Amino acid sequence: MTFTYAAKKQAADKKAKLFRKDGIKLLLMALPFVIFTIAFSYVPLFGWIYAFFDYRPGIPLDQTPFIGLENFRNLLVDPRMGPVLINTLALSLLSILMAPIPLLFAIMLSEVKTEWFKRLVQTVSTLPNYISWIIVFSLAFSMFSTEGAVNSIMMKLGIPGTPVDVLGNYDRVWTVQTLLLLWKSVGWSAIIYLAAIVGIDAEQYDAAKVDGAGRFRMIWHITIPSIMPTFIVLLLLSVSNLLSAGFEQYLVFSNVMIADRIEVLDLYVYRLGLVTGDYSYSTAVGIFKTVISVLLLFTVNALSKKVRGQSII
Amino acid sequence: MRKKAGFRLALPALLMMSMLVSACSGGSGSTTATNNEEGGKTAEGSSDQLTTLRVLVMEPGTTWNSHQDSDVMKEIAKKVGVKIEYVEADENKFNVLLAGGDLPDIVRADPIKYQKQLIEGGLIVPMDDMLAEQGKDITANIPTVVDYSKKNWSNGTNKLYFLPPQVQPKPGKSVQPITIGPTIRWDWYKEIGAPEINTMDDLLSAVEQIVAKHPKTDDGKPVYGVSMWQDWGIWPYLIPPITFTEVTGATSDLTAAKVGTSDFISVLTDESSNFWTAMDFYNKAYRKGLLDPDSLTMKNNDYMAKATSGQIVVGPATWAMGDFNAQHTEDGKGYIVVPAGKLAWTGQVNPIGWSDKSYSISKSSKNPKKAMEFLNYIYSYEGARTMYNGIEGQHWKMENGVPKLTPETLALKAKGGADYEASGLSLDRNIIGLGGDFVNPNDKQPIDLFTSEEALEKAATALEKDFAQHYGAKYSGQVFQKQIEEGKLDTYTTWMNGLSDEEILKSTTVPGVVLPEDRKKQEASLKELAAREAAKIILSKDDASFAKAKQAALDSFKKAGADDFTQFYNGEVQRLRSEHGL
Repeated sequence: MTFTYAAKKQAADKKAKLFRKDGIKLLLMALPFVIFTIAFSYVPLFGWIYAFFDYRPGIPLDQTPFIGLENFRNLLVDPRMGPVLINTLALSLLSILMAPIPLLFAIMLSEVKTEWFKRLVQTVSTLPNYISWIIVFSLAFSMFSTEGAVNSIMMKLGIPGTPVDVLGNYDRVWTVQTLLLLWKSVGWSAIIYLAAIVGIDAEQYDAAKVDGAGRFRMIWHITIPSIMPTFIVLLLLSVSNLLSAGFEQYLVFSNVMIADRIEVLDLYVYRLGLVTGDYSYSTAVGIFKTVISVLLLFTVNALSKKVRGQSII
Repeated sequence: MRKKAGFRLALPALLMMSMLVSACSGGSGSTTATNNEEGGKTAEGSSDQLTTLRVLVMEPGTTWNSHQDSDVMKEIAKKVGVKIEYVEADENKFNVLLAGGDLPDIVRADPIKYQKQLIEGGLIVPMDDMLAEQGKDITANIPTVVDYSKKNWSNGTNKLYFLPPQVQPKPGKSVQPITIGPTIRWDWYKEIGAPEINTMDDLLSAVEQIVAKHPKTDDGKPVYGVSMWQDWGIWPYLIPPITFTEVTGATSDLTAAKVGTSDFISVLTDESSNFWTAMDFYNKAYRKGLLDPDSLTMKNNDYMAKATSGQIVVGPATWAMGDFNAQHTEDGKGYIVVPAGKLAWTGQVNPIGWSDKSYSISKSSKNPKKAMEFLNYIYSYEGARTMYNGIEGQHWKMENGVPKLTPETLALKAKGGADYEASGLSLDRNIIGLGGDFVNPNDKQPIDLFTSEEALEKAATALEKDFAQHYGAKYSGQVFQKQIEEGKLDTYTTWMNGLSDEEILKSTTVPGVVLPEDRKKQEASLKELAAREAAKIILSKDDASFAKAKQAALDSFKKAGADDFTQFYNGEVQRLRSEHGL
């Protein structure tokens, strides 16, 4: 009797756990995002099939010749792959090197005591994140082209060596692009750190004050250690994105003078597919990128588990 | 409380729904709507209900759609019962449309490039059956083209899929205003005495003199000698030198031959080619400080803005000078093509039309018969003349059996600018089936009445008149005509002198080389490489670095197979010619 009762209760508890009112609500709330992910991240994976066919737009897949792994073999001997990978890694590493800047920016911003000024700076620095790259290009063209604002002012001031060609400068492509990216993203990336700083227990600062710590001591011993875990997680995630240096930015800023140094992997995939019309090979290059990125993510994750005892996925 | 919970549940559900809807419908929503509308309209079938036909054109930047109320469009609506809307696409968009399989009613594309995909993919329909019913004028007026198309543009099915516009078996008698060639700022060129331009060096020295006199525009912007744009690939290196080299490409940008011959050279590795002529020209311009410093970073619209504000002295064509001329119709300032080099861009005969813009009817069209009726109209004498010259009785009148443009129409053309464009006369020549010089057998006059000497003289703009006067001619085309008659300039038909009509037809109807898929890829990557190398060559600071950059480029072109490509191309040309009986 008791046995049956206990078993029943256990079963009922289990059921309640599964179908708690909250549970359904939470599930429903998550569902759109699950569907979103499936629709936009998993369904397109069916497109990978094109890498194994000699596809031409217009001709249905069942009439297209199957070529197996030929595209992947071509990938290994493609002379463009080397330079493209170098560009991708260089631009990614430069942006990783820039990673502490939003952190420092967030700390400095949180130290500003004048509320209206703080808000103004935050708004102004976050705004560029919402501007699309093509608009950024137009802005940059009107600022930095040979007839642009910057050169006009410098020429009026009689500064020698002008006009300076910023957008077509082969030797400074990486620097220019990294600075543009930094300008666009610094405010936005700082938001996460600002949130982390707000979450730090205020008592710690009070205690430090009592102990006689100054502003820099408090930043050094409380703020930085408290937001370090956030920083590390973001840094590790960005390492797994090493091969996704970005696309639109380089697409709009590319021109024949700097094409050799700005062509990143995603741009190469785009050029192969949409400009030269080689959809199959371009898909193969895309697959290659994805596989390497997934491998990097798991390596980084394992590393993080070993070193910090915490995994990120 | 309950209400709140309901709301909480409803919100994610709503979000989910909207995402699903947006994910599934994509871009096709609007298309379906229009198609339904069209379907509804035709079903009613009444004459005052118009069928909208959407025409895919592979030329971004047309002005057709903004003149839907023009007299010509109204006449088309009246006669055929259709409204023509352009859908612009570049090659990328076209490929996406091909992959999706949902093409507009009529597709204007190059059969040499796309026939396999369009026909094998079942994206366009054969016109043979419709031709008998709806295409009587086509059968009567361009039978040679129909036969040629069945034979060469049917992917081996011997059916009629493609019809090219601008069919014109013989050149016209008069020379119309020329639109391609060194297009120079006329008032400035006249000021320095309009020196003769025989080579590209002459052109550069004229430009140098002009820039020395006019370093700034009226509103203080710097004036550059020459400029170009980068989003059309290697176009700026292939087309402008043709006037001087008389060498032009056929179905590939990588090979070219002297006008009228069939020995193709490599554009990239033969140093006498247009590409290397252009490299020399742009590099010299750069070293003299005459090259717009943004030339290698600019896109076409940035360039056009500079042209419109008058910052460029010479460009490659009248349509490449922005709106400068249209904004200066009153004072006669502006850009005009001047006689230069060896070739005047005129006298083209196109017995098989402009094949790279051939019309086909898509399978997804809801109104294929209406589309056929419209195509028949553009190949009919009546339809073609309406599209060139407007409506009989309004824009032109019959006088003693001879059609004549009214003085008002001639004045409208002479004034040019927005009003003329809004009338819809000759708005897009690419859409008209018969070429302007095609003779209408009913009245023995060319279809396009603007080509008569009288019309050319009366319809000349102030700029054209000033230009003609300087050379002692009545209209701008006559300037060229005189030099052609004197033997100073060739045209695209000079080589035909002394050949019989039959011989001309034979040699101008040789099928073009169709590149197989691997060669297409090679062509695309070589063009990309050429654009990159060109930038380095043009920006060489002295002879030594120019020679070095040139050698490096030649080596990399050879390594990428440019010579092999040319050899293949020539082989194909010879094969096609011998199969054609030449």
